[in-house]
Amino acid sequence: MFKKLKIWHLVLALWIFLVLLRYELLFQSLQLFWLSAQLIFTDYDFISSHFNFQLFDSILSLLIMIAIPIALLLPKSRKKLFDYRLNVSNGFIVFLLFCFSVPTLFTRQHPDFQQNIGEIKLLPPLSTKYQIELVSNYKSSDISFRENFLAAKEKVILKEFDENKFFVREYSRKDNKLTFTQGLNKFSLPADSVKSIRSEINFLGTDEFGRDIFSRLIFGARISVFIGFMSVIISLILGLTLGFIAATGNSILSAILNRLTDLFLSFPSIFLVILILALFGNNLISVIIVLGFSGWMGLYKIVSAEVASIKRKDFFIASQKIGLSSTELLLKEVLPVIMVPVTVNLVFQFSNVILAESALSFLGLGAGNQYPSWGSMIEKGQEYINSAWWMIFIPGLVLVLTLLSIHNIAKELNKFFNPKIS
Amino acid sequence: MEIVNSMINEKLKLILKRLLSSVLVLFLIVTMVFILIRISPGDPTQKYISPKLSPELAEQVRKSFNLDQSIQVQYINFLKNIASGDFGISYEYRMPVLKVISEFLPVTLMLAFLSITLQLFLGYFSALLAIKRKNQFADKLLRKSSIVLYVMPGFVLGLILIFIFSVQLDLLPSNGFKSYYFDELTFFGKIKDIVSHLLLPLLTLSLPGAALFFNYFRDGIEEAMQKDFVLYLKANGVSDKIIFRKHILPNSLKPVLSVAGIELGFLLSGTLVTEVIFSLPGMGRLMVASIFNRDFPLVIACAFISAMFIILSNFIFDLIKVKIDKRIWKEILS
Repeated sequence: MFKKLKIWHLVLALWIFLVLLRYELLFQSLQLFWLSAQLIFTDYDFISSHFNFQLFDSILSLLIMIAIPIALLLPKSRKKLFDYRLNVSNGFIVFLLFCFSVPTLFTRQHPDFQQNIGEIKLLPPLSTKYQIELVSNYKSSDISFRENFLAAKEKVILKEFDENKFFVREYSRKDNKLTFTQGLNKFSLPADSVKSIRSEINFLGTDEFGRDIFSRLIFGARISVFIGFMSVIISLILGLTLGFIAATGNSILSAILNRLTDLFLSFPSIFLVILILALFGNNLISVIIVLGFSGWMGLYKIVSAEVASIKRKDFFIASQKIGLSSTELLLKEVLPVIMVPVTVNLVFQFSNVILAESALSFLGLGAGNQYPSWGSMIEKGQEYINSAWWMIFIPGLVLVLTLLSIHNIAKELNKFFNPKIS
Repeated sequence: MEIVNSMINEKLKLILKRLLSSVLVLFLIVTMVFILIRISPGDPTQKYISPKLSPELAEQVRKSFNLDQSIQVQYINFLKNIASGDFGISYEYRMPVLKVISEFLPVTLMLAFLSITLQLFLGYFSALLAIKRKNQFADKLLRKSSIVLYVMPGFVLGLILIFIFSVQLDLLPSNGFKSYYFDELTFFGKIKDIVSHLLLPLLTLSLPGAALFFNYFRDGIEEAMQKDFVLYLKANGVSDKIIFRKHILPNSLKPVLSVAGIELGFLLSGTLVTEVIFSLPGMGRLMVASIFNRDFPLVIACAFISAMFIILSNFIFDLIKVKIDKRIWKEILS
């Protein structure tokens, strides 16, 4: 039975799960989308001052959630992409891509949310805490687009800090009074100022600042996958252009390029990466660019060798003689042949970049502390190895699973394209 | 006799050519690092100049770092100095750079050579075991675990080892190269101390490489075993041991040795992550610390020595390859 499962089954299952879990949120984001669309035409100054990445992100995740069933129903695309057999590594990558595209639906906790650090820091996995929400004083009477928009935004967007929420480990309620302890101090509140008390479970525990590890993992997946995609695109562009230049240009240029590639290959690229990042400062963009520039050599070698060999093949010469233009030659004769090894190489390169990024974050040279990253999570956990094993092992496990899945997929692709190499 | 002489001459020529091209590569790398650190933001003298100092004194500090001349003059002086083997004086340590490096090098050298031997041994013997028990439980287990170990990042593996052996079992120390009471120990006590400190870093460095070598050995030996000449030798009644030692093994070693050359180069150029986890005083940490301190002479010397080690280790393993398989010296050495 499990052998018949396809990728689209998993996609559909994840979609249904998310819709059932967050249907309220999805309606609210739809409302927010509608309001902001109206405000763009009526009150542009207001919306442009309130527009930020998080708003864009929540609207985009709504659109993605709408697009997924449509993409599944499309007959042609489904056959190609979603009809492969499901296995553990495929499934994990699909899950990772879901985390990349709609992280705000998986977790409703901002990755940097900190409140009552003394109470909720270093909680082990599967422990519970109580979240007490106070009645907010702010109330608006006038019903305008602006107020509606702000109210909807308040509900949808994850907040780094919320003054109306706080966390306790235990509490007791006695005739209109709520008493709880935080540290050594005892507090009591009148019961009518409390809006709600919920017990929240920490799936994967909290870190040294009381931040939820689960939500940091989800958002860290986003950073890892983003850096991976971007750097792979940079190395793809560099490798393809340089490879084509070397294969079709004059011999002096190709000799120089070959020497340069050998030089870069003989030298460990991680040294250059660290040198450049440490000298010029590390941020998201510099990490992407440096990792992209350090990975073009393999692609260059493949592309230049393949194109040089295609140029001597009979089918290419024949189609040249028929009179195809150079763009047609490129699209119809060259690209289909080199696409196979290039794709396999790109997948391996993707896993290399994710590994390099996490190693750089571990050394403190990653995209920076404003983004949660698996490597920096492990680095922080190193100090708490005696007391909080989950801070190391959970991100480490996710990282290893990711790398293993990508490795498996690359191997499978290789097998799929070249059945001779078992 | 003449043929042999001409062959030796040709070999020497190729080796000489290779040496020249390595010198060129070293020159390019040093130039690149020089340019990179000069165009990077940050002034190394700022750390040693307080605002209370008079401008003349500040100028003197700059002069003592040789940073007062124009960049072209600096570059020419720097090349002259390197050609005579003088890398300058470290800003941070106030000592000749080579002396600073010689204090950090032993740990890296020891780790690298021990690790490469351990990797080759582990890879070789596990591959033999896997071939002997082909498609049995041990083979499958080794194959699966080798993939997991190969993709596992060094820092995760190191922290897992620390967690098991230092935190839970309390058997081995988790950081440093020696204990603080090292000088009071007897000779054997000293050896035991260093061994117990180096065991976990060695495992962290070696297990992924061992997994890689396991795959190379296993594939190579299996491929060589299916060749026709093995069948021929068997038919002639040569014993299995001799076939394996004299014919199968040399034929399967070529990819292993090229990977080993690259691996040793990586190990010698500093194993930064492992050194950071176990806080060992090695080349990797020295290099990163010198970059952050803007200690220009030390950065360049570290880059130079790492590159030299990489080229050297590739060269040594290529020579071993030539020694094993004498047919292919031309393509290897050129």
